[in-house]
Amino acid sequence: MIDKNKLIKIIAKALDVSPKKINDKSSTKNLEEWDSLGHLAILTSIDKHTSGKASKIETLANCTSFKDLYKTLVTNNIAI
Amino acid sequence: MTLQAQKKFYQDNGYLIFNINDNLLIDKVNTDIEKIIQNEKKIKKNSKIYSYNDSPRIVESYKKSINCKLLAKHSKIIEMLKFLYEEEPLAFSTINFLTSTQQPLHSDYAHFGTIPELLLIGTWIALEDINPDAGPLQIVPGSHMWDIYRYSEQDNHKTPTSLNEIKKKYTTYENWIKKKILNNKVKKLTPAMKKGDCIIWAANLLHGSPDCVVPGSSRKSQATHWTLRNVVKHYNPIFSDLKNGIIVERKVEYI
Repeated sequence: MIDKNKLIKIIAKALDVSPKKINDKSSTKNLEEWDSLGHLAILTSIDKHTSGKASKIETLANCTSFKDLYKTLVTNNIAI
Repeated sequence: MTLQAQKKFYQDNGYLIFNINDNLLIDKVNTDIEKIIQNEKKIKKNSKIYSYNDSPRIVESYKKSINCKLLAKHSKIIEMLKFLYEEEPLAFSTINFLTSTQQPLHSDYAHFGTIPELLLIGTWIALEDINPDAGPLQIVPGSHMWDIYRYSEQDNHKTPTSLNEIKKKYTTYENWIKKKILNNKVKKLTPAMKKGDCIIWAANLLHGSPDCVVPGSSRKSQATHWTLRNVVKHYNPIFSDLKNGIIVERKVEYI
């Protein structure tokens, strides 16, 4: 299980930005590094941290904001 | 050169140059790009990973300018692609350049894969006469026939989990290319490109603009990437490992 803070750290590391830049409002629309390549880096990183569980969630790839990602992971019992 | 001779030339060399003879449209594109730069607070740019100077690469200009769209899908280009590939070409991205990219030689296929393989095409149109000192386009004729570079074969497919790791993988690729060029003593070609000249290059053809005498000098151009109707899947090579059945799909938005 990963919590909200852990998810922030995962995304920050994937995008090579400070965790301070990641918050509930972060998305592909307001974070330059979160482009299509950055998005794939986030997804593979989450998958690595969840031992492959994340890649089984089909809707995760469509989550383009922190809020959506977190919500989807919680719904699928991967995050708390 | 007859059409058949052009086709043979393309198959042998991996590129073809012809002029679209539409300076009126090109002038409109140049005006629109200037407006986009002046008026847009946030211009959609290419990933920093693939940038080698501060000059912006404006991606998806066709969404803001009908003229960029018309140029990308110019009838002369579509006709030529149909003839070369005997299949319906589908444009899916545009990049407008103001100056030279100063990017080392690379193949588009290191960024974008197709199934069936190698059904990717690049077109690049000079929007002005290209000054030889402004970092002109360079190509390696015949390199389209080289083996496809597989990132997964370089490090037992350690899937990248950050932009930093992607950059490292890409640098390994660039170094592989440099070594191959050096070892094979391949000939590079810098074609003289005049306004309206369009170069079509095959999926795996090496191209770039590494030699720039006057960085920052104007080198206006528009590139478009194409796939074909018979492609069943597009994939991201840096995340995929085809030998082991890992295909990370790339979504394509057709123009």
